[in-house]
Parts: sequence; structure tokens; C-alpha cells
Amino acid sequence: MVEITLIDSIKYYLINQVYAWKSFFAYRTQSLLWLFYSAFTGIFSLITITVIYNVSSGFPGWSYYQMLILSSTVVMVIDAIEYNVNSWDVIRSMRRGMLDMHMVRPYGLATIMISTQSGAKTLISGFATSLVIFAYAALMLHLSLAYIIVFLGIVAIGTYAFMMFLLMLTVLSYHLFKSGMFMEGLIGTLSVVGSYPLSVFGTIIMLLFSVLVPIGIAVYYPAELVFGKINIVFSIAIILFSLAIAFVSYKLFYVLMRNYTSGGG
Amino acid sequence: MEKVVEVANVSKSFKTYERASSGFLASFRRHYYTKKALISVSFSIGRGQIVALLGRNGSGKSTLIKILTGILYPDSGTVNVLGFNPWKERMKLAWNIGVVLGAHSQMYWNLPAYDTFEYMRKIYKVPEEEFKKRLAYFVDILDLKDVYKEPVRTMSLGERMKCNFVASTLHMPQVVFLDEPTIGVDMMSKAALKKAMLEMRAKYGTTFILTTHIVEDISIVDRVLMLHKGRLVFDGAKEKLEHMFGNKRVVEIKFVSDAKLNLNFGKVLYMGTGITRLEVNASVLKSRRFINLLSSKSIIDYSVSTPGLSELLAKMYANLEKVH
Amino acid sequence: MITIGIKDELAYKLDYIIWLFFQFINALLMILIWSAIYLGMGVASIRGLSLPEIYVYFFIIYALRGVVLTQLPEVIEDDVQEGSIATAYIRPLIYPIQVYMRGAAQDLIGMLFITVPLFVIAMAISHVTLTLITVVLLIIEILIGYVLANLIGFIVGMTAIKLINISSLEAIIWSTVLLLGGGIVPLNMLPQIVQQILYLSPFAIMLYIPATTFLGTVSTGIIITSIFAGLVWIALLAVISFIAWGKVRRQITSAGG
Repeated sequence: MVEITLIDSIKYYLINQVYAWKSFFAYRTQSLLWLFYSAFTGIFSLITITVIYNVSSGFPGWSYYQMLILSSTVVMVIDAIEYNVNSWDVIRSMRRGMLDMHMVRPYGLATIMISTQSGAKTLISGFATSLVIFAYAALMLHLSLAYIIVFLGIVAIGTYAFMMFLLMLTVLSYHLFKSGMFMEGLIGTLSVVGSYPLSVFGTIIMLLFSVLVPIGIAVYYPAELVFGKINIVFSIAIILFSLAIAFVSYKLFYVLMRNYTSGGG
Repeated sequence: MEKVVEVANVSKSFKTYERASSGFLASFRRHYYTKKALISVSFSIGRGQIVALLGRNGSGKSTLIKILTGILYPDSGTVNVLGFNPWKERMKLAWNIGVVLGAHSQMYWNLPAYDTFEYMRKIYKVPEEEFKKRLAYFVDILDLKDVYKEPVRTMSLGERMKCNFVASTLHMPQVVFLDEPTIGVDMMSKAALKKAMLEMRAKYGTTFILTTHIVEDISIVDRVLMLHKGRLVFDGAKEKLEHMFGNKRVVEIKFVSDAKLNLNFGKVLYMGTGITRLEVNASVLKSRRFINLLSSKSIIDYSVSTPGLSELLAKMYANLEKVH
Repeated sequence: MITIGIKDELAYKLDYIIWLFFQFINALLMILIWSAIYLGMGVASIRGLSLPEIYVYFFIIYALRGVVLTQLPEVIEDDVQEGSIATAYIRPLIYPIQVYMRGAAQDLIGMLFITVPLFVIAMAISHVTLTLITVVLLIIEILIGYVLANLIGFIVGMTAIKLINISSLEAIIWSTVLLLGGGIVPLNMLPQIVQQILYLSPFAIMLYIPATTFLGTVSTGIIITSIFAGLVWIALLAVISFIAWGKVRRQITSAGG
């Protein structure tokens, strides 16, 4: 018997990615086609922001390129989360009992769920497209490398925290609704909300998506820091809040999994 | 005998619903109720035993397996598998158990079976040399040498199930749980799986617990546990199950079609032109009258067998329905 | 077949209520976004659309999404992945009709739970008086849009025979329909030349034209052009569907076994 360390869990995650991609590329032509047309998912937000800024002055306090940073970041964040935790797939595997097979492995449940869900592998190309748009906007804004690294670092922390939050919410959604529709709807809404400054939605919605469903920690607030709209103290608070969200979500996830009833059989 | 599985007063319920009534609007109304999947189940299993968990669909077999493997939490009771509490020490237990779920394959569909075996080697940290030896062993006893390097999607169901078995036992677990492993599987593959289980038990002392509602699957087991509506209604040797229904034998007699024979020996199960099948008491087989019949020139051929366990179980289920 | 499909879908009625909730929320969010744009500029209208008209526009768009975002590709994808396409193929009704009916059942429930309520909200917040001609035009446009959506959905679904998993392709196609149909930004905000091209495409009639017909902000010429273009696209896509089905019929395989 071997005690599982963090390194083991990371290795388990990576092993699963290797085999998932091997399986994906089993159909070479189709997989390339999938990757090709998935790359276009990153372009829709670019078109939308460009049209808005063509016909109007856009959003007060936010320039065109700053908006591109925001909208491309939210696509990258959601694509990264869905790559690992596609709520629809998670719930489907729970309903059909397909998760059971993985639950008998000697790894943590959260690690298993994040590593083994097939997710949407093709989102990686949408992520890549958004990264290109991000890089273009950063270049046009003359953002220094240091700022970009700080920004991406805080985004990564926020993304991890938000992913744990969504994983917990997915399991809760399974218990309440036995359906992935709620999570699918939520992800769609988050894509809309995260693409624009939270301030445009008013105080209540801003608070909702900063505290209750905190996509703000992964996109909006890191962007505000980099563009000098919030100070360093506030940003440290955001990081601490992200870590707290990750911790609480992790604990709640395990509490909810106690009541997992497993479909099938 | 060392106990590897100990279950004491385990109960488990699920909340479910049914339509309140019929009609189009019935889909808007639901009647929720609690379904008792397991009711105070207690038993223990010794090391090296092959145990069948029998029962109809919905009797609680899969629920019990999921509790023993740590997938589900029971509402009450205690479980000990290899010294571990399955749901509290799931990760530690997982190193020592293998699970084959008949309804869900763990094989990578588009990849050769070998890739899944390699994957298992990595996640269970099986040393390379050991892996090669074990793989060679399983490929041999399960006759997989022609298929295990082919994509799983090209295999038959029987081949896939054999590969599933290999994937779950490559790390040489002490206890292997098999949940309905033979559904839809051909006879040859079933025989190969049974052979593998017997060999592993003899060579490594592996304990097997398999759930099934197919009676023929229990030909190799030492012991039968039977669940009915969540209760353990039988726990004993397979032979004890058969003896519960007396010393019945089935005799099939083929005879010259126009012969006039007195076949009044027991219950006629089947009568055709030149063939009959009778259920008789075992003592009848030694009677002078029966021996004289079989010596007759009109008799072409005959055979004697034990009534199928399926018939015995059908009677048992019928009795249980009356009681519960 | 449609009745059974409706009963089957009503088992998932909570899914529709949740879907309606999020369509309503997303419509509200679009309104807030455009309010910020309008108020930030301090203007009464942008490209001929006032702020109140933008509110109504997006409620109509989200209502029409219930018509346009058909379930057909998912129905076909499920049939292929579960291997039930072979069984469906040997039933008396030809497969395209079967699959349309099953998709239609889901679409009808979607329309009942989403399209109708959002249309009611749009009517309540607008000051538009609908004439008989407007209603007739709306019905024609929505019907054309629905048929086009199903033809596109069927062609996309047919790719499942080869690709097996088409969820990414489906997402791209419907995102394209939304973008080019005015579902994200009203088409009159695009450059003129782009607008002219899109009025001739199958997309405008699905979303933008019915929404602006309702508002009364689109010219009769554009309506007629789009309806005519829609009918031509129906004929063209019907031929493509027929050819696609012919090719696929010879290649039907199923998973499993």
C-alpha cells in the first residue's frame, strides 16, 4: 500500500491526460477537424467586442484592448475549467454509474473527477485562440511581461478556486436536479457575465458574481489590478478569498459525495 | 479461516419517486418514497473463498458491492474489508481490491487493450518487470494473445470482459469484486473467466465475490449469498441450496416411437414423439421397475441429471414472495 | 411519435424550467450590457435602435432561441453513440422523419416553456401594437427560421455518423447562427456591406428579421428579401440534406456489439 502524495495526484492527472489524448487522436482526421473548428470558439468574443466598440464608445473606463483582455481571459478560464470539469459529462457519468469505475482507484475523489472526466478536449484550441487574442491586446496595451505574469498568476489561482467551486456545485446540482441543465445554464451565463466588467451589471449582480458565484476572482479583479483600477491590498484580499473558496468548496465537495447514490445497477 | 470481509447489520435506503397516477398530467405529479435497498445484512467471507451474491434484479446486490468497495455509504451497520472501513479508508482499500463492473467498461474504447493495461500499471505503480510477467500470465490463461493489441472497439463483448478482468487484477488485489461480469458474454469467455478465478484462487489465495442473477455463473463458487428485496435470505454452500429442494432428478428417455411403455415414474416434464423427460425421486433410479424399463429393447438412449438450479431458485423466489 | 416524445420530455420538465430561468437571466444581462453602452455614450439611440427597443429586441431574440436552437443534432448524435440508429433505421418511418418528430417533440416543449413566456414578456414591456400583417409576417418568418434550423441541424447531425461526437461542431454552428443572425449584436450595427450579405443568408430570417419585424424597425424591402432568401435556402439545404442522408444510409454502423 502506498500513501498518495500531491506529486502522485499530479502524476495521476497527467497520466490520464496522456491516455485521453491518445484516445482522442485514435481518429486522426476527425480529431484534427475537431481541433480546427473548436479554435473558432475563441473568435466570437473578439467579433462581439469589436462591433460594440465600432458603433459606440463601449464601456466607461474600459478601452477596446482592455475589453479584449477581459473577454479573452474569460474564454480561457472557462475553457480551462471545462477541459477538466465539464459539468454535463460529470453529471452524466454519475447518473449512468460510469464514475463508479474510477472511484475504486486509490486516489482522492476530487483528483479522480478532475483527471478522468473526458471533458471537452477540443476546448484547448479555443483556449489557444483566446491566448492569441490576449497576447495581441497585451501588446497593443504595452503591458510589461511582469504585469502579464502577475495577471496570469492571479488568474490561475482564481481559476483553480473557481474550478473547485464549480465541481462542488456540479455535485450539488446532481443531488438536487439529477441533471446537468442547471450547470450548463450557469456556465453559459458566466461566459456572458465574465466577458464584461462586472460594474456594468449593477451592485447586486456584481456582488453575486464576486462572492456567491465568484467568477470575478478569476477574471474581473485580476484585470482590474493589472489596469490599476484596484490597489495591491485589495488584490491580496482577492487571492486570500480565492484560497478560501477553494478550501471550502473542497470540503463541501466531500460532504456532498457522502450522499452520492450512483446511477445504474 | 482469516476473514477478509465482515459485514454487520448493514442497511441502505434510497429516496425515489413514481408517477402519482396515469394520464398526461401525471408527469407533473410525483409520489416520493423510500426504497430499502439493504436491510440489516450480515455475513463474513474468508480468504480464498469464491462467493456468489445471487438475487433478482433490484435485490440489492450492486448496492452491497458498492458499499463494500467504498463507492456508497450505508445508512447503518459496519463493514470491514481487509481491515479497512471502505468508505472512510477508500484510498487505502483501493490498493488491495479489484472491481469489475459488468455494465461499465474501464477500457479505453479507441485504444488497444494493452494501452489500458499500461495505464493500470502506471496508476497502481506496478514495476515494469512484474507487469510483464503478470500480463503474460493473464494473456495465457484468458487466451487474449490474438486480441490484446487490437483496439477495444473491434473486440467482442466476451473479449472486452476478459480484458476488463485483466485490467482490474493486474495489480494482484487480494479481493476481487465482480458485478454482473457475464451479462451477454459468450460461453467460451465465461469459461475462461471462471478458469482464471479458480487459478488465481489456487495460486495467490485471491478472494472473489461475484454478483449475478444468472444461475449458471455459480458453478465454481464455494458459497452462495442470496439477497431478496434487500434481505439476506440464504447463506451457505451451493450444495445446501440444491438439497433444500430434495433429491430430484431429471431423466430423459429416447425410445422407439411406436413402443408402448409404462412411464409412470414421476412428473412428466415433456412428452414428444419418441422422447420424454421426467422429474423423479432419486430413489426411483434404483428401483427394479425402472431398471427393467431401461433394459427394454424399445429404449434407444437415456440420461440422468440434477434439476437446473434455475428451477430451484424459481421455486425459492416464489416462496420468498409469499413470505415477504 | 411526437406525443410520446412530449411525454418523455415532460419527465425532464425541471430542465426546461431551469433553461427558461437562464434564458431570462441572460436576456436581462444583455439588457444591462447594452444599457451601460447607451448610458455611457449618453445617446438615445444607436443605429436607429433606442434603448427600450434594445430591451425588447433581446427578449425576442432569447424567445426565438427556443425555436432556432433545435435538438436535432443531439438526437442523431445520441442514436449514433448508443447504437440505436440501426434499430431506428429499420422502423417503418424513414429515419429523417422519425428523427425530426423526436426533435420536434423536444422543440415543442422548449417553445412552450421558453419561447412563449419570453414573447409575452417582450409584448408586456414594449409599446408595439401588432397589426394582422405583422402577425402573419412573424408567423411566416418564424416558420421559415424553424425549418432552416432543422435542416441545418439535420446536416450537422449527419456528421455524427463519421465524427461520432459532434458537440463541439454543434456549439460552433449554433454560435455562428447566433452571431450572424443578430443574436449577440443587432445586425444593423454591422457595416452596411455585411448587413446586405447577411440579409441574403439563412441566418437573418431566424432571429434578426422576426425581432425587428416585431419592433417595426425593419423595412418591408428587407423583410421580403430575407423571406425570399430563406425559401431559396430551404430548397438548397433540403437538397443537401437529401444527398447527405443518401450517403449516410449506406454507411450506417452502430457502436457496441
